[in-house]
Amino acid sequence: MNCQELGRILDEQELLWLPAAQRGAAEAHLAGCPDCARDHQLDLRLAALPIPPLVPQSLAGWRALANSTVIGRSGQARKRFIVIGVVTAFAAAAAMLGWRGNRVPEQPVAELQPVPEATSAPVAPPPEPPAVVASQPAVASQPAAPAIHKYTVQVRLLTWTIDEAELQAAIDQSYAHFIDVLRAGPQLVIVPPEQPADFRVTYAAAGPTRPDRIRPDRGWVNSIVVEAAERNLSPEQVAAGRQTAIVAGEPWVTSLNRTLNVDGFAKVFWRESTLRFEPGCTPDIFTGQPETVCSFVADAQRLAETVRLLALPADAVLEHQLQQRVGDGTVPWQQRYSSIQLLKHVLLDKPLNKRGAGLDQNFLRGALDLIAATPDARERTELWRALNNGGLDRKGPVQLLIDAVPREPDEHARLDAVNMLATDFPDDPQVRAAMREMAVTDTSDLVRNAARQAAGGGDAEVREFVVAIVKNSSLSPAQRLQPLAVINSLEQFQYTMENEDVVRALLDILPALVSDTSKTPSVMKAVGWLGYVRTPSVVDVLLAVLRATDIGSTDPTYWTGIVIKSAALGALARHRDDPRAEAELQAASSDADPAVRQAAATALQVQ
Amino acid sequence: MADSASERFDALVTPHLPLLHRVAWRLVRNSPDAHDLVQDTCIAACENLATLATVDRPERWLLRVLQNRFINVNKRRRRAPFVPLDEEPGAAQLASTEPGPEELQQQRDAERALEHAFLQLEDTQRTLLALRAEGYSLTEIATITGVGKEVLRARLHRARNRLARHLEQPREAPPRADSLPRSAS
Repeated sequence: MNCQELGRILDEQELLWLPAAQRGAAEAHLAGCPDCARDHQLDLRLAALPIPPLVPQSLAGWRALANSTVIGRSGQARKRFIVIGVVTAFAAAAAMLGWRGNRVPEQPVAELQPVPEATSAPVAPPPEPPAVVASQPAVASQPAAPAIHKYTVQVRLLTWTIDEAELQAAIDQSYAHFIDVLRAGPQLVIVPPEQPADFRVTYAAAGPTRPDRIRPDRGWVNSIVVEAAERNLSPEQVAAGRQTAIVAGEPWVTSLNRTLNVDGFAKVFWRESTLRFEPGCTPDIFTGQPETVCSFVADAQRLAETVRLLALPADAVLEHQLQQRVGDGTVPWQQRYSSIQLLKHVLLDKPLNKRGAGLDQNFLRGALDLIAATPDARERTELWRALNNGGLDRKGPVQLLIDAVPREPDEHARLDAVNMLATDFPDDPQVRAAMREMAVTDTSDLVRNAARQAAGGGDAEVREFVVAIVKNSSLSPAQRLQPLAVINSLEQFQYTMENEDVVRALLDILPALVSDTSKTPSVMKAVGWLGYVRTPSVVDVLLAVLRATDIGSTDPTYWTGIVIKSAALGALARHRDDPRAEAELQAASSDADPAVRQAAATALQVQ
Repeated sequence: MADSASERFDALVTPHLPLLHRVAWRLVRNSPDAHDLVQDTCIAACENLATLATVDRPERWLLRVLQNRFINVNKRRRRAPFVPLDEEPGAAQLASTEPGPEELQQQRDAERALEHAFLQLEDTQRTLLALRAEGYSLTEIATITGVGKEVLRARLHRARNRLARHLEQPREAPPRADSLPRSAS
């Protein structure tokens, strides 16, 4: 492809929308031609220049013109227009200053706009109800809600043309189902993309996040971006939304950025999932990040529910449905597990105007009932982990958990349960009492030591226990890693890692477990905490972990490797006084794999 | 009658007002002028609602009017269209006293430099780049502006070159030696 050919193509179509082969050729040309790259960058930069939102007063003023013109001749009308224009200009200027000053209005202003009928939204016809969706309770059975404040939402579907008819049909169905799930939100009004809205949701099924990630052998990527009207955001949210939208050098983000932040929206939420579409695909939550799903429709459902719960204003109806789903034995386990994860975020997090009130009795009873009804120990372990909030702002009825933890039959699941209690309720007297009892009565060495640690005592004993096992080279790497799970505070970890021999022992343990997805959380925890340890060999360990995460992009554990690599780069960023760490970060910043570059950028930013 | 005009306006023009506002803002990079442009376009639309009802793509008709208004108005009134934020009334009071993230500042600086360079282009070049930035293909722009594609392509090439040159120049370049007044000797 030469410059002229590229110019003719890009004059008619965006790079992102080109067929894969043509896009590859165009990108190759852009990479090697500074002049074309400059032109392309200028286009992108011009498109990304910010534009203030259109204020409703202006819109109303312009619409009022229609009534004014019939009064008389155009000259007379123009005088009236000037008056209207002055008013609207003042309104616009005021809004503009407010926008630049990021003042937050009391209420979203979308209700000022006429609400279109649902049928006017540009959506595909609704699909047949997918088999994976649990039957929803009738609206009448849901808790009565007071007057619902409505929010307008633009929905944009980014589509790609796929050669396989079956796959294309599944994708089309996922788009329609995505809209249906959003439309079911009682407080949401879906409006056409041209209309002002409080939120803008962009959904791309089977699309690329980065060029190397469209791989039928690996799966397909679904992406979701939610933007909020900047007029409804705080200055900090606007700044964060604008910053996150700008990631130089990433085609997907850059292209999406063309439409982000140029219409008075700022990005508030982004999620991506990889899914397989092949016979015999079975969802497995233990294959590492991201979760594997096998159905476009199921993924659309999950993403739409995620958006409704985590990115858009509170949605009591969906919360109620999820509570019911958790306790419904006829619903597949995977969906019940996902429902717990979603509900936990709703109850604990405070994005936008979410509750963040803490876990309640209903939620915990549902989750514990599901744990009790789950025969697979690995699934129970995941559920206990799902209840963990990393010790952040945890509230809620603790006695239910205290009663349930000792009843957990599996040693490893029980260890996670103890860690959950210790991390989230470190100062709770009831938890400490329960831990003191388990430190004596539990049948497992691991759990007893974890409980001892959680009870706030026996640091020296715990450390001795951990050091002995980590250094025991006759055990497998997985066995030697296990006692680190007992440690639930950074201080205790730092204290334990002051021993150079222990750190060097990690050279045999952590790199060997990079590909073992069942150990990923424990490896991540250890690698992350190594950023705060100053023992000389720490950088050696982190570099060894990085080497082990150099996994080919077609390998099934590629994603796990990326996740651990991100943690290792983050830890290395805290050791930049070591030239090897600095060199590694710089090398990662220019790595051929965009995911590695992104990880390095994030590590350097956080640091 | 008024209801009818209002309804027709709502059907034919209102859906495109956000687009017109965006394009107008892209062209002039300031709010009062952008509002004037959209208002003038709305006036023209009101006076031609019957015509507008017969065209296939009203937004193209509206964009063409907006483009013509932009070029005509600028011919008559060559006033400085760009008011930097720090010159706006009240901007100083609105500015945060806390230092913002460095990246954000760099981004703002880059945006201002680009705006400044953009505003130095000819009106036709600005129109072309603004419509491109709005996502219109050259074929669509040809329909809107009534100018042939090949001509547009050449203009686009020149516009980008000139924009790049402006960007490379410092914003407040010292006067060139040959433009300085010569001494009497």
